[in-house]
Amino acid sequence: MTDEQMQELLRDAKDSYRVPAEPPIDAMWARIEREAFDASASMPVVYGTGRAVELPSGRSRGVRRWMAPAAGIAATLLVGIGIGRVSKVTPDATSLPPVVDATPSVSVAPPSDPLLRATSEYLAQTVALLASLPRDSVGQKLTADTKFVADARALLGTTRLLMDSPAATDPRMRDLFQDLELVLAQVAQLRTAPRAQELTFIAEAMNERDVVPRLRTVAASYTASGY
Amino acid sequence: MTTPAIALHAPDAGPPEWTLITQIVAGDRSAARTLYDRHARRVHRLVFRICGDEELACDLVQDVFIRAFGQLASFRGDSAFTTWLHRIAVTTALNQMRKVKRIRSHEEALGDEDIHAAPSREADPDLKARLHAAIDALPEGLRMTVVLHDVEGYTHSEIGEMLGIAEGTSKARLFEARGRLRVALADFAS
Repeated sequence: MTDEQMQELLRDAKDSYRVPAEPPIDAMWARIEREAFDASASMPVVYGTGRAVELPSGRSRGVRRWMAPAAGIAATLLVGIGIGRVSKVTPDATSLPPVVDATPSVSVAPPSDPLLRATSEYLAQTVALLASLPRDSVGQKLTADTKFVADARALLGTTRLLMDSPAATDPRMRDLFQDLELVLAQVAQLRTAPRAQELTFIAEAMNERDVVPRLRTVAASYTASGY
Repeated sequence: MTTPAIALHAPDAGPPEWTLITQIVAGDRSAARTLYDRHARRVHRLVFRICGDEELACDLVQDVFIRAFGQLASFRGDSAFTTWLHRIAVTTALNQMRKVKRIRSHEEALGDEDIHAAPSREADPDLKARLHAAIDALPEGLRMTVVLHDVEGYTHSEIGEMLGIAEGTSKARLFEARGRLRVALADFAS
């Protein structure tokens, strides 16, 4: 058999070798949703306020890479804030989605309001950043690279924008933004080789104010509301 | 690289994958469903081509996505999301196939038919069917390389990542596999 004949056969195999029937997409999803989301241990989401949160022991570089569009979010926020300020303010348009502890509903409306959507993305990215904060553990080399610190600075700027936006009209959100500003300001000042004590201060600031549980609860509420 | 690789591999219109992933990590089921809809058929085809059983393939797809959503927070973005997901699919399918093989080995010891044996020429004279049977009869490492490279179209680099082998090993396996296929089909090509 020549190489050409073999190549031709193998090319044909792309369309003929073990071609599956159309899979039952919806039926398969039912089990996936049940096991991936209803088994709370597998998803790091929706903590009730005041519940202790254990941060992962290592930082995920991937999480930090998701921060790349932070500048875009800030830009969106500016647009959203602008819209919020020039538009006639209605309770429905600017009020915070209801904070719920329950698992988010499956059916959610598509994102529409740019401010709420940008706030939702900001919340998710802040959760990711704080979850990837280096921890002080014995024998572990602590590092905070420039990208990580730059992401914290970008989110700090976004936090300050949000504090001046209609998103902060809700007292709970305003308090959360203020606490996040404090934490992110500390993170943004981390050196590339932070001392354990610096990280301890940040962790204490977060724990004292239940920052991460509150942040996750609010983020889940936004998500459940379709943002 | 400044742009996450995952952003370059969205198979269709809609939110970028990094957005979906962030939302899923925050607990958004609708984002999970969107991501699932984008990739489920591709994953199904991949695992079906590995296992060759419709029912098992559907089970595997579910296992793959349950594992993927559970591990999503640890996704580093070092590779394309598709590559990451398909690596989970290949690993899950291979592990399941090894379990199945152990069971079948036990059955063969009891006298059952060997389903991996290449059919005889008389029983299956069609060249395509013979090729498929010859692929099925390859050792697992060689068969996976042929399926992933020649059938599914992955690069050697991607195959190396999925199977945990060097790129050169993937090339060597493909060369070996094609040699064996050529021998198996030699008398049909003249």
